[in-house]
Amino acid sequence: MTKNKRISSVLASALCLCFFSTPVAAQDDLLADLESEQEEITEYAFATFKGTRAINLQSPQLPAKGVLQYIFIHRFGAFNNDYLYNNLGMNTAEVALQLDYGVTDWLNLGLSSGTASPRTYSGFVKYRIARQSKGARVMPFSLVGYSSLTWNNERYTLEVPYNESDRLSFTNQLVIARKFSQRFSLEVVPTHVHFNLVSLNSEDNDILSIGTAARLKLTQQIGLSLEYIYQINPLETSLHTLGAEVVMQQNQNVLSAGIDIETGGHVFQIFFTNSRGIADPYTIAQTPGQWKDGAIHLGFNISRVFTIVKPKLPEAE
Amino acid sequence: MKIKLIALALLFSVGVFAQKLSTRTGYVKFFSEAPVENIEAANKQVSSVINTENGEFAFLVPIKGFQFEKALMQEHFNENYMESGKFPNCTFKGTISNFSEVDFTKDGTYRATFSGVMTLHGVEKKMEEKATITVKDGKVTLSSEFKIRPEDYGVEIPAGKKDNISSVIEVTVKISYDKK
Repeated sequence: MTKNKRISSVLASALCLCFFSTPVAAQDDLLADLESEQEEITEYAFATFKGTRAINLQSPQLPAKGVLQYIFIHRFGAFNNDYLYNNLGMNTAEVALQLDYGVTDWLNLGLSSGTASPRTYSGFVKYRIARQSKGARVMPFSLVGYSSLTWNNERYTLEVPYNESDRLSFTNQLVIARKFSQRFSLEVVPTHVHFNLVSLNSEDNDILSIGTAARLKLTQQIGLSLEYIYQINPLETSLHTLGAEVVMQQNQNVLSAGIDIETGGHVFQIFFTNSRGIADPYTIAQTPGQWKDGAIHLGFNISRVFTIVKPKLPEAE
Repeated sequence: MKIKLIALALLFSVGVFAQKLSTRTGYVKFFSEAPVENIEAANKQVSSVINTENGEFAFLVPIKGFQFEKALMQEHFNENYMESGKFPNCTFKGTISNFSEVDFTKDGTYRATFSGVMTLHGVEKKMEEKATITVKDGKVTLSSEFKIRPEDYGVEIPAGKKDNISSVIEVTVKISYDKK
């Protein structure tokens, strides 16, 4: 090695030293380092609505995996229907019970049963297609599908030939929801109801409607909600009773307004609505009463969740 | 000559970066004991760094990384108490005050005191706690247990929830570091 080369080598080393030691000075603030190194994560919107139902419509919420939910759905008789004589609507009240389970975080299966107007049994499947998120993955809204099958369990009023399948009706909803801020969420719900049997030839078996619901959070525990279901091609008759008789009925759009109160594992939804039916097809397509006539029902949904399968928490190494 | 240079560069780079121990998979758990229910949540996304030259120490905990046994608790924790949309991280910045007594290159168990400022729910607060630093086969692990009061950090527990959520939360930290 010549002298010249040795000098250049020393110089190069010195350069190296400078180069590699610079980062030390630049990395003084350890916390700033951690913050800048933090990976951009996908942040999902949660609690877009409080309950799994907005009021009558489905909300984008699903119970978490391993969670069993029980909803008690209640509706008093209308204010314009001999309200005092009917024990403040208690005598003409409607009740439904719903039990559902979160199979996975994106799939929810449930059963429900409701009293008169008409007596029904239902089963449903609700599934999340997309989740509103920001950060690494951006999705402007949540998409949730819902399909239910309803069995009308009324007795046939006249001895007429019928198929058992005439009792069935189906509801399909697509919930498109967005949490705009910590306080305000909105959903639009295109809805399709199919009745296997309707009363008149002139009626469609498939009733299309557009639902929309908004939620405004007032405090940590209390929120306001407003819901409207507009029917595109309403039925002209009542399908509450089964048989040969045709009962003409003008079916109205459904307007509901209420408050949500959340306490731990319960959500109380107390609302006013002109819809009387509790099972989906009857709520949506079989509403004879109007707000302006006082055909308003006081109602509530009370839900309770039970964690059946606990998720495994992360553990230290 | 070239090899010499590279060797030299490597030597310096190792020398420089070996001063820091860091991780992104540290563990933190908290526990609240109250008459109605006990609440436990764990998080394995803690990032932390120790500068072994001067004892500087920092950690960062993403609040949404806490996992609970009940999904609804997790929702309430983020939405109502920690407001994690607004305050996504809990951070700590400070020093290990007796770091000169800790030999990060020698196997052993060392008692350490760290002091600095913790930021939680947007509120900064000075704190000083004890920790144990274990060096085993060159692997450094820091573990600590301490208590915090949510009200110190502006996290209000409504009167109706006093039987569900303790006013003192027990925190357990266990962080294993990699050389950087």
